[in-house]
Amino acid sequence: MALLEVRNLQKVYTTRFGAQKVQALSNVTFTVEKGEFVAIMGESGSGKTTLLNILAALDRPTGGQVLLDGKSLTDVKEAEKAAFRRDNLGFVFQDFNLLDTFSIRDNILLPLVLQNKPLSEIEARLTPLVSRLGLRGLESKFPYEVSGGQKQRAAVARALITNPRLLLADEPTGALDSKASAKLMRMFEEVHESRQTLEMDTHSAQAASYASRVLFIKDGEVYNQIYMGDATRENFYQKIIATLTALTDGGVAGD
Amino acid sequence: MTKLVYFRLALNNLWKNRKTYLPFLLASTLLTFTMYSFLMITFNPGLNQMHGGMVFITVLDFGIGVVGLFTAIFLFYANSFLIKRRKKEMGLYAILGMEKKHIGRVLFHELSMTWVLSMAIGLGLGILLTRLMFLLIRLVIRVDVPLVGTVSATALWSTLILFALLFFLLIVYNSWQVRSVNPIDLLRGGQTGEREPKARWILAVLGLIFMGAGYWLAQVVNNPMEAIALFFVAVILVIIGTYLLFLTGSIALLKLLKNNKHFYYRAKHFISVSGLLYRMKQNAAGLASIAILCTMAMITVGTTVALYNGSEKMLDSYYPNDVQITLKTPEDQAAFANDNTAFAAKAGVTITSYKAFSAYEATFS
Repeated sequence: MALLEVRNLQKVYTTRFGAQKVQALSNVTFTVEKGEFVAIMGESGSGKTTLLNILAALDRPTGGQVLLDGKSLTDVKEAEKAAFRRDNLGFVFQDFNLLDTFSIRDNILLPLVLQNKPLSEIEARLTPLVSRLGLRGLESKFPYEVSGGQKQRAAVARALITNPRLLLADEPTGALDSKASAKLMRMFEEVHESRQTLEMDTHSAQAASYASRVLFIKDGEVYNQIYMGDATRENFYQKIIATLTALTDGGVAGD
Repeated sequence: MTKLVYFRLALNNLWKNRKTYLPFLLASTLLTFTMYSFLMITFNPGLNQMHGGMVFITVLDFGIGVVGLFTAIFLFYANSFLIKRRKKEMGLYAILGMEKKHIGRVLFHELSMTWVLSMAIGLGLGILLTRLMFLLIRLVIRVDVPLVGTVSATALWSTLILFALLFFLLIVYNSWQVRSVNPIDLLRGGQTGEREPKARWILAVLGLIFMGAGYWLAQVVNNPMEAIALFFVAVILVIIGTYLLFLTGSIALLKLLKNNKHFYYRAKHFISVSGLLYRMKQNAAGLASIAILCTMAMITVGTTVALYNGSEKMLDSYYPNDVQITLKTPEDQAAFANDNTAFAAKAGVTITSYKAFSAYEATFS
């Protein structure tokens, strides 16, 4: 069974007085198997952020269903959503969202503290993760003392420390330079190799080329999807670029 | 065990945000101290034995009302400032899996700790400085006030309960704020942007009218009895006027400057006017409060100094004679008129001038 199943997802935003309706997602259907690394690409306004928000149980769809391990997200009660996110999902944001008043170590440990795990387990989980993400020696530093790439890696550590079923990343390389981006994506690749399921929104074809599959969203629908398969990363990158070009050209021709 | 986590998290938050929380704690401590001092003097049993004690108590009661009102306004303002700064943090907690009731619990612990600390320090200071306060009162009113005791249980309880009530209201306000935190806003970050404030001309003009009326009232009064009645009307008019002027007048003025293209499109004016337009929206209430507090402080210092320096003059006009004796019956009066020289000799003085008035004559003639 697929880890994540998205069926006929719809989202219509209505402005406050109901004067205008915006169709953010019209009909999105796809599945993600356990251990897959899926990148979602699309232009601004294509609905990919809306999709991620719904997958994160932060927003409600107006139609369709999202199943995580067979459990429907729409069935989760509002009061239980926070606990659901805490126990099943990990988040990485574009602008890191680390707490400035907490050290890197405390930022990473925050979700475990909220889960009320015993201290011995907290420490046992922290040590391997810190060395895996190349954060050793930075634990007692504060977010304003480290670089953007290091901050993002700390955010990834925070997302992974709960062993989430699904890691959601929203433009994780958006605020990083190309060198830090490449390093972060190699880290994601390693995380993927450890059978962690990842889903990532991105604008960057470079970042998407590290994924095992790329979904293209256009006007609220899945336009196309391509698998990496046995292709090399360079090859896959070229294929992504070609699809992106077709996506924009097709838009012009279709109108 | 679970509950302990939120307590620890709250403790940690206070410590890590100490730069912003320390002023809040300091303010609430000082307000506690002020409140306790006022209550302690008002409830002092010695005041009832003092000449004019009842008047003194009435004035103090009014003072307690004013201090209470300002305590409430100040605590609410400072608290809402702090909570606004931490919206992002709360949104992140919600995304990382903290339920809203748990965020509320952390905030509850934070405020409870602030309450306990400010009560302990504020009341401690109040008890320690009791004698100093008594000394100050004696110095200012120049009458030996029979103030007794060192610790007033009634004042202690009243302060504790009053502040517990205020902090309870703060907790209710904060829980309501937590409910309005939407985690998606955090994902979108600062993309939403802030809308340019609108100029509300009617309110701005109203503010000007209130302000003008307040100062006009204060200027045209020429009789002390009228002054007491009109003083509070003028004060309230000026307070309303100041808030309205800062909140709407400032924005109206800046809009006016912005619409004047010859003025607005100059390097210096361009940045400062457009920047101020946004800043004023957030800071107007704070600036208005500061302006009002400054005015209050000046009025208080002014009237106190005037009253203190004028007290000799007031004494002379109320009691123009060295000795004044009030006798109730004509028989007493006649007896005293015969005996007054002997009476004076007994007191060790000689009479140089003697006048007798009859209350009846004074009233009916």
